[in-house]
Amino acid sequence: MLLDEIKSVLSFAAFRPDADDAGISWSKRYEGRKTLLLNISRNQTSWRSINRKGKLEESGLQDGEFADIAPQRGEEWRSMTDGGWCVVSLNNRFIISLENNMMRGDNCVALLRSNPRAVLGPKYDRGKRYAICHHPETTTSLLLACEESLVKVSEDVLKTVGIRPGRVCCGLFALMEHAIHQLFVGQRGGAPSNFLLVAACEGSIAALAQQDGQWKDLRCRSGLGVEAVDTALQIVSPLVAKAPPGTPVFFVCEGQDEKFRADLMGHLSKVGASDLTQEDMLWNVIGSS
Amino acid sequence: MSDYLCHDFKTPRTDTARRLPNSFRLIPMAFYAAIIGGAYFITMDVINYKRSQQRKADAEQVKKQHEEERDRHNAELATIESAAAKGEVVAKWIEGTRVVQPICVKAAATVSADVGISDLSIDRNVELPAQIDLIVRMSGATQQTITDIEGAMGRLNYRAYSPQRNPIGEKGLEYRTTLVFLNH
Repeated sequence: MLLDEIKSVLSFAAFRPDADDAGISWSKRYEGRKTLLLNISRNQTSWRSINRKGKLEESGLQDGEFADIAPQRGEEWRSMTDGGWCVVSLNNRFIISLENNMMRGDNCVALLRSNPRAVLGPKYDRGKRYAICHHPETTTSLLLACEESLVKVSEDVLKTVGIRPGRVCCGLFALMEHAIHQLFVGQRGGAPSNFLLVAACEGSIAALAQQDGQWKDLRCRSGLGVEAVDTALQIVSPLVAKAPPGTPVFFVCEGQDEKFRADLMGHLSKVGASDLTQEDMLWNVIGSS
Repeated sequence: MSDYLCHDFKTPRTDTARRLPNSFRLIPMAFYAAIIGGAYFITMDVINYKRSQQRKADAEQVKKQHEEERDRHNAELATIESAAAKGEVVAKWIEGTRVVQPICVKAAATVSADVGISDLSIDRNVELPAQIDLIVRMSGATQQTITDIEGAMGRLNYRAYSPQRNPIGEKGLEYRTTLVFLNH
């Protein structure tokens, strides 16, 4: 043990971020190492591997319950990693809500992981895991609440096949966070005061409406399935209807089913939606940032 | 992706140790610096040691050459000193014979041209330095020749005592006498 510690100091490993240090980006934590990205949906699991150069490589998809897929694919997944580390994106059993006056601060994200009650107060539910995304200019925040049992089960299943989750996140929420970040920080001149953001990931969908610089409304449904385009449209339509004419609509979508995306975009294009989706967007968002 | 950081709600591990502060990087850096420095100094020492050995071998070679040169010079010096000593002896001998040189010259000059001097010997006794034994061997010499020699010696203030004339062969004559310097 002492020898290991001495070795880790002499190889500077003791100064590098921990493999599961949530405060450091994935690409920095696993620089020069192969890792695996898993996207777990209700009836489907997809995966991509990142090679030692940080490029996306092999991919795969299998239908079925994750608990059944993992033992079959465990060896293949282990071979795609150095040390068995992976990112898990959950796309089921979560809800995103709009909250006001949430605690903000540098340690808020870390505190939400270690002591969510301190951040959420009476809104805290002990059976949930939380993530938060603040409006950069107002007091509104997006709050993700994911079933803790799903997180724990997924982690346990992965542990049994020798895979270690270095990050567990929600793919849809990550896409929304990234799109919001791009709209507010990435765009010259800032985000438009009115917009509608529609995000979809492997059959889960969320729509966020901003009016006069304020997040006004949010609708979300997880685990719909890629076949439920009509249901997805029913979620989005009221927000589209309520938006003032000329409100820009942004659409980001990730998923193996191109038809779902095409159908949804077909309907949204009628209101002038612009597709912000980039190739391998989900994998790039959860596997590099 | 810039500064966007993806959220994470995995179950926190309890077996993680706190990351060492960045300032502690100085410890392994100092360790590696010490190793590199040590390796550098050891290498330099080895190189200098080998260079010194080479210089020592060269110096010993030069020393050997110088010793050989010195021995040769010493031998030459000994030869020269020996020759000088011999020369000094000769010089001293010459210096010592300065007194008797006029005797030789006068004795040789006195004899006529038809008389040949085959041997002329002048001995000076160490115990009686005032007496000089003169022996002259001649061929074709007469009584007049001997008288002339004695006369010449007389002019040099030498007086001949107990002269002896011994014939040698048919024409040879040996004249032997003791010369004593007369102080007036």
